[in-house]
Amino acid sequence: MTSATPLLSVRNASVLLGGRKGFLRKTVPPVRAVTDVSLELREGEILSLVGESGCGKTTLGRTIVGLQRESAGQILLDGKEVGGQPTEMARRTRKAIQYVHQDAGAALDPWWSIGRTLAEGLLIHGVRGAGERRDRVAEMLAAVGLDPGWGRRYPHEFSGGQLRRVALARILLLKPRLLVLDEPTSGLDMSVQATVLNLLLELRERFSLTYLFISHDLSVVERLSDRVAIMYLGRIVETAPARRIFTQPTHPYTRILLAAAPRLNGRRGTENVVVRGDPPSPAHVRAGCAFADRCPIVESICRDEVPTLAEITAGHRVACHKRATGSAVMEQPAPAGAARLAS
Amino acid sequence: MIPLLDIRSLKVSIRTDEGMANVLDDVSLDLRKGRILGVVGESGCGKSTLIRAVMGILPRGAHIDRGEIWFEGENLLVFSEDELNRTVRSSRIGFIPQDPLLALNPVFKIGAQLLEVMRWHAPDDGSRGTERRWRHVRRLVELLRRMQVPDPETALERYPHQFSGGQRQRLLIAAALACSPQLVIADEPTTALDVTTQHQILLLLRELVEEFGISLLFVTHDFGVVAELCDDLCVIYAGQTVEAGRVGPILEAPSHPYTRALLACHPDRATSFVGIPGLVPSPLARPAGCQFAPRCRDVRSSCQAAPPPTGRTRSGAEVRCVQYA
Repeated sequence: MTSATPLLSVRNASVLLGGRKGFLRKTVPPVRAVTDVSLELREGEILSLVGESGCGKTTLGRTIVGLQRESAGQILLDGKEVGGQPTEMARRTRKAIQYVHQDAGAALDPWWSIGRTLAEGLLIHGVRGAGERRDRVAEMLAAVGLDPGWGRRYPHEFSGGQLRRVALARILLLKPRLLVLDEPTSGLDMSVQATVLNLLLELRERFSLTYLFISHDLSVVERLSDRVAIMYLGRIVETAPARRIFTQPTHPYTRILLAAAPRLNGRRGTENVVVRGDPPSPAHVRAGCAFADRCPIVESICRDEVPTLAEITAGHRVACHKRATGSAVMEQPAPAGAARLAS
Repeated sequence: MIPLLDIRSLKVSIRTDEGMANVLDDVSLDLRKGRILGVVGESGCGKSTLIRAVMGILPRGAHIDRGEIWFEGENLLVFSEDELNRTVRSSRIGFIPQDPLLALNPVFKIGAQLLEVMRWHAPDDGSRGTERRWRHVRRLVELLRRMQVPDPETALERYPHQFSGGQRQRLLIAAALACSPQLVIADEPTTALDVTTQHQILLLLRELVEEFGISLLFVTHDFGVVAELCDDLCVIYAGQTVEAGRVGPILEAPSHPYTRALLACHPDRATSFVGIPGLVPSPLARPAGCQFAPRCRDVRSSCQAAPPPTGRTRSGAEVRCVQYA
């Protein structure tokens, strides 16, 4: 599997946002939304990108799709360089990568019937015959579990879960290979979320898709992904196969994040630590490790040097001065976590 | 022991363009002193209407058809608007909203907004005028310090946008507690927050319940949060309480088919993502028998004929289902 060219590789990508602000176009220092991120996606796998708001996960997703131009680094699709292009050109060369919006309803034109919106995508991508467009729209509506006749309906006639299905149908009509799913189930009820996740797994089989799944819901991530990358303030701080990250979280931030997530069957019990302070803003990035101010095991080196992602076992990489060496991991036995809060 | 809050067979309908919407059909719950009751339901099940009914802020066109809301031995439904304002809202029942940014006015300083609440609703301690105001400022600063808001003295002079989401939620928790209420109602207070911030707020709420001797009515759709925070649980479906009891036994062995189906959808527990087939019935056209019958896997012929009675499980939970009658 390692010998095959990955479907997508991102190498040392950085994204700077802004630079000018306000109505006088005053120059302000740009915000480093993504810093030196490298990741690979193999054909057919689901990689989850996890982090709190403002960590740069959406910016990274948009950069991969080509909606945002990277400031440095390379993006390779099937081993061919597709990065470094203005957004309009990038969207043409990266047709195989499509983005599914978080708010499916807002991404649809309320004055257009679903069928017309869906056919528009085909028209833009060069399907000339009206009959063919109609057939393919009907076929795709059926594939996402909607009645093909519903193409005549308007967005307001659909429920939240159905709108997610419409959004997926619209994207799948363009025959993508890689989908960037930005919080695809946020705001949905639990029973609806389950059906949408089920549909995503089904569609992956049927259309041989690869997913980059952006989420902050660790329960969903644990169930769905093959691999997980944890982001903090624009950098990937830990990446590993899903099973491994949930059984042996290593970076202090990952451990705190997993311990903080509410769980049905008792806490993940890796660390009974409450992190102090709020997630920092990417506008004020300090020197050294970005997590140093909130880290329970911080040392002086952390404040001076930025830790690099180092492999501790096959496929498990961590960016931490103290935990990156194999022995340090073992030294920290997981304390028995409190099953419930302060009780 | 008499419960602090006791809602009995509450039925609320709202007049809409399409007819009478039967939003709450039959909700009963009781919250005892010093406990945290989680009210769980999916969107459209009537959670918000329930809160509004307790606070006496139902929307225009809403009508309470039946039921009682007993709070500290008084039926709130017989209170006039003026009595509610003077003796209940904020002073005895505090409220923590879902979106802290929407609840704060962006053009007024935090101090002005929180002190306004205290000016109208704080218990009378005999002080008047400036003295009363200074007492309030001191209490507020003390509360903000307890809520771990950085620089509580200067916080009062700042505007809402100068705080992060987690800090804003702390400000509103302080506002809810400012007038020493016995009951605090929280409407999904952590939905808008990040995981680590949510964890901080949940820990804080748990501590406050013990420290201030309050009871908490916590409305949410997240069973994970319920498992962590709550003592008791009340599951609502289509405007009815379908299962109520202690959190532990219900999460371990849910009895009502809806609770079972809902918990089976949770990613922590799901074996495969199947969801619940069908939709919640519209409040404009409720089915005659059991509300969950059209989606229920264990449906019997009698379920669709008449509303099911409420029975008790061995662990003491109340379940609205023929299987437990």
